[in-house]
Amino acid sequence: MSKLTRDVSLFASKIDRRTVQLILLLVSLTLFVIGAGAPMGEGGMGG
Amino acid sequence: MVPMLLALGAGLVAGLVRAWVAKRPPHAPSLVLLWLVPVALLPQFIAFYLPSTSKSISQELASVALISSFVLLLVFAWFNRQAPGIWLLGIGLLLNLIVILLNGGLMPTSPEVVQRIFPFARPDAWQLGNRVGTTKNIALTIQQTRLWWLSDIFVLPAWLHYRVVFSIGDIFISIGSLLLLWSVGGPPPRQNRPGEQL
Repeated sequence: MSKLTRDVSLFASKIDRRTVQLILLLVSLTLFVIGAGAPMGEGGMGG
Repeated sequence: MVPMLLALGAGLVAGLVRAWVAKRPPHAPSLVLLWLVPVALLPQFIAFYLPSTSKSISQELASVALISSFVLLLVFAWFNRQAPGIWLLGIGLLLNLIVILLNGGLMPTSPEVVQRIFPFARPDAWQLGNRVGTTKNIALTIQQTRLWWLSDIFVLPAWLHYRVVFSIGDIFISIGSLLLLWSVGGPPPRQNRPGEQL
């Protein structure tokens, strides 16, 4: 097993279900905010 | 995007600090149909964000993309309305959708606001009654706009050096996101014990 694979496995084993749910919440909420009205960049306008 | 993303960042920090102070692990509220959010964003991505398509798409198709996207996001908000803050996200979304539907399918904004946001734009860069560039906005005067107070009327103060315009609906959405992320540090949802009445 390469060092990279070992590191990835170690990292993955440390991420529990709760962390995954938190990340999913953050990503979904960010996408929701962008879709629901967030303007885009400098000089942007919203929806 | 910055003001709303700032609300997200502030909400996340507040939620994590709340959990840390209460010495309990942060937890995400239980949400359903999460896959619907990226799916809902897809039409907008094509109509407003993808450079190759956003410039060539017609105003009518852009409207259809925006409205269909909002409807899907509303479905997501409805099915998750029990989660903290989601009802505010839904109200903000609904307010934006109402003013969009009443004004030709895009978010109206006045020429004065357009000039403040794009001070260096050529005079022929946008026209009254048409979509402003590749944005979700349509330029309409206050007199032409139905429920103008729900449209994009707020501009960030000049001292922030970031020209951006937003609506009352966007404010609801920001507060809703903040509340949802604040709940991350709250007590976990009560589990029903065996034998307990639902």
